[in-house]
Amino acid sequence: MLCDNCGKREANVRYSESINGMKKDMNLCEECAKQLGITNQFNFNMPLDFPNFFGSFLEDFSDHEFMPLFEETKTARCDNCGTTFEDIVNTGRLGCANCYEAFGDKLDAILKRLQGSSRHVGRLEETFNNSKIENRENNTSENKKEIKDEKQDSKLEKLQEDLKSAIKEERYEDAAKIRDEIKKLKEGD
Amino acid sequence: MNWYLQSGKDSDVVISSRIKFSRNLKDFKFNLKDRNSIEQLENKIKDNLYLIGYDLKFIKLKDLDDITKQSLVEKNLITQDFAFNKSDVGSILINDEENICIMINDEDHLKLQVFTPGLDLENALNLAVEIDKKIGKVLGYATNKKYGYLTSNPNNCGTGLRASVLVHLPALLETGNINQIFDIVSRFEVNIKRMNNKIRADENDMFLITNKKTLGLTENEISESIKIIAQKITEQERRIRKILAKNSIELEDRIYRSYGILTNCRKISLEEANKLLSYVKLGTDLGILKELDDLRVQKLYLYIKPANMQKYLGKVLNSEDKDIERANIIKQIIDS
Repeated sequence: MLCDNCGKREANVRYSESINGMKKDMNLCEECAKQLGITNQFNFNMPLDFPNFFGSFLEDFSDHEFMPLFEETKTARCDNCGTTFEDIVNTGRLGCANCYEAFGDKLDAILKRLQGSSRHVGRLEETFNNSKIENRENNTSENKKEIKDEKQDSKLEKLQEDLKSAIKEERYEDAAKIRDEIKKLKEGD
Repeated sequence: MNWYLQSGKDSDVVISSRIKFSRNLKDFKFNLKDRNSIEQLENKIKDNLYLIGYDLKFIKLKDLDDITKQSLVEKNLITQDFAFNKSDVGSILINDEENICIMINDEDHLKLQVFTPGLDLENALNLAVEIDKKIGKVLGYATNKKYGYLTSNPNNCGTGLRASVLVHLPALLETGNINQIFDIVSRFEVNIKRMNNKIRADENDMFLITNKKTLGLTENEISESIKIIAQKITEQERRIRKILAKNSIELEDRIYRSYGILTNCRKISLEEANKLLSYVKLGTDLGILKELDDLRVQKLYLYIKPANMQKYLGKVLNSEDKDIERANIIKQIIDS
């Protein structure tokens, strides 16, 4: 019998799982079983594996079911370092700075739950933007301006999303209004 | 003098403060494993060291013997995991006072740490930010407007900041009130854990308070909230100490018995020494025990640990000898 997951290698691990009364049986090859973390099932002495433990949170938070996640995200890959979402789920670690862009949507949901926010506030040095660095070195008044800027940024982002959905739903009058508002916000900067 | 032998603000309860920034350099992948990129990263850091300053020295973990590495772990300058599981890829930047220690190639390219004695997160944060700005300018960090400083574990992104305070809570522990503290603290975005190290049999009455969240709060907000919580816990610890001191003969007896054993024993395990020293420190902090001062108590804490002991003596010891030498060192420090 061939492995249910990869369909290539001979299956020699039988795995059954019952979640909320839904029984699932699988015949897997050793390699796929290892990747799915199944071979460790009966090792009671195993110390908690924190990256994996954390990764399983990622999995739970990302609205996927057990197998579909494994299949679907094979294709989702960071084009800079080649890390897949599955790798991130398994290790709890991102591969490079670009992963934050590549998996942004999925990360947002997770970060909101883990950190209560998905947006950085406060100091952020941009190495090649000197004016910004100076801005941030002067504290109070500049800081307030910065916070205002950030608020405006997120407002702008929201408006742009609204605009997209208005166009998609063919509410052109709304779209025009939102467009004007965006324009006003940008000019006010 | 090294920072960990000094005492600072609220030193009767707060041992030390630490600011830690997780940072990655742009143009490098996270978690470097291949020799080539590790060398590139190391060279980039070494070549620019003169621009960063602070008398930081670059040291590869590979070039340190196990006792030296363990000694750094015992001083809480680097983690056990980094010292021994990353010894092939890791290196450190450290200054002579050892109040700045940057772990290179741990989970992130840089873990920038600044330490101060006592409760002084503000100064630690100021210095850490100053160094951070410099390194950022020279080496260039991986950042993103939305997620702030990018880290390999998304749990650290945003400010990338962990602010921690190490506190000595013998009275809260002794009276069982520590559980209440855990309860209250857990309602805030703060972790508190006992600094027990079962592997090193290094149990003591120290607790580490650290922020949970790194994203969505500013550096000052994070540092401020840890400071406030540390102050509240300090107040509670002092309150209980006062109550214990009222029944002074009981407490005095305990403290002086501990002191008596420490000064007169001929061999002693780390575990026992830690227990007794906790009472001795409490006695010194309350002004009950007049024979010792802060500095010597700090020294005792430091040099009863196995690797520090061997560094102090300058020789390798087996475990039976360690207990004998520990008793000798304790006597030496107390008599000094």
